[in-house]
Amino acid sequence: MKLKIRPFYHSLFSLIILLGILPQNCFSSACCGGGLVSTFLITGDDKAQLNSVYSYNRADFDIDQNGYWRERNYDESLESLRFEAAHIIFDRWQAGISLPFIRRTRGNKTSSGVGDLSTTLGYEYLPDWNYNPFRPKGIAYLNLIIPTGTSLQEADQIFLLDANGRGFWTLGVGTLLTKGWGIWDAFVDLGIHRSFPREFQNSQTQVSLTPGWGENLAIGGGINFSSLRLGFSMTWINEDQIASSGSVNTNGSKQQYTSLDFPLTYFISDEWMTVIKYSDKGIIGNPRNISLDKGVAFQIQRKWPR
Amino acid sequence: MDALLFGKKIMLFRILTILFITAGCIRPKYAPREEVNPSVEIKSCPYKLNSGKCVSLDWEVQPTEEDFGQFLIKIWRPNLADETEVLEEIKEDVTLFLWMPSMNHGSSPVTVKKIDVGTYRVNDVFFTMPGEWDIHVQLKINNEIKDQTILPFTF
Repeated sequence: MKLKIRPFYHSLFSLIILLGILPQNCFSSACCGGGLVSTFLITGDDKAQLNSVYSYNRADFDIDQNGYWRERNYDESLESLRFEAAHIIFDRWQAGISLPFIRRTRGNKTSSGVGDLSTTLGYEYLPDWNYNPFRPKGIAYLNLIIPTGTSLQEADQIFLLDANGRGFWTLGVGTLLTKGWGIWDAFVDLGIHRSFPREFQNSQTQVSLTPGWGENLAIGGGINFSSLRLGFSMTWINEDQIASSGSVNTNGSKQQYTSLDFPLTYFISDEWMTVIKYSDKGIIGNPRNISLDKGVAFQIQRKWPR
Repeated sequence: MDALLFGKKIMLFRILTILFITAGCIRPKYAPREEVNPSVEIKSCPYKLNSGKCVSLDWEVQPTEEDFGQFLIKIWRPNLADETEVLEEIKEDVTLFLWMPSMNHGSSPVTVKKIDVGTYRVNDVFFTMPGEWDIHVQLKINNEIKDQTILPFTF
């Protein structure tokens, strides 16, 4: 029996849809605006795309380094407005940029500012063969996070509300594999990144922080109904401990968590689409040293076909 | 052909099920109540500076997740006869800051005011999140650390 070959536009349709489920926005945490990984890639047959995402997150529990859960008895939220752009620069090469604006609120106190800037260079090393039911489209990417946001270590305001970034230059490499089968689609995003040491100083401390490696793996998929798509993705994040020397000498502790995302995508036209997404870090996994936040995101995207 | 499509759907469902099982539904492990009790038990010479002087902490106002706390820091030596507190005159500047070692970040600044011989009141004590914290006590001259100790604290 021959495998059924789907028309080209079906696979293309599915790949474009994947844009709505890529784990671009699931790494922000209620403790700070900094993401561990942030890539923004063109996965369809477009020459450019613009994206804006509003997200609202809050955490009910903080998990310590031993895995103990501590319930929060206060309201703290993190709102993020992220602007992203990506463009094809050569035949298979693309470049992207992502800049978030963060607003953090605790009680009646609010602070807002710019988060960490993320830049991405991608190369399509595996073009999609629509007639092949197994071979995916593969994009390798190089990601650089520039610490334009105020880090937790630099923050000085009450509740450290002015912490909008992670504070480290971070270089990451990874690969994104996508594939569509008719109404179904799936993706795998595997990456590693390395953050670099940096000195921090505020009114109380002067420390030199040495972060390490981090790994991320995201797996997801979805099903399409007419102009709607219902998706699902699961992302594992592991981040090495951050050692400190100077005013404070500690080894730090590893961070790990698993995030589940449930995006619902609506295709307004060939150029426009919107996504509403629910994310939750408190459903599965074995989280350590992290705030378990959950939130909703609303995304609108414009793209320009080649 | 429909059977093949149905088979594919079943396969995808199996993969997603296996992923769920592999990751495992989250199993909360709540912190024991005594761990979150924001008090430091005071024993004889509970914490020592590098110089050997003792440091003790007395909460005057317990901090909460919404409000500042306040405590007294006493720096003393044990009486040679019965090991009771003999408060020491400190010539250095006494400074404090709060630090969460697991995440390696601090909290908002505290204020320190000398009250009496070897006795300092620390105001504006606020822990930004629950967890294990270190209270760093440092004695400085011209911003150079001469002596220090760490008081662990679970908030």
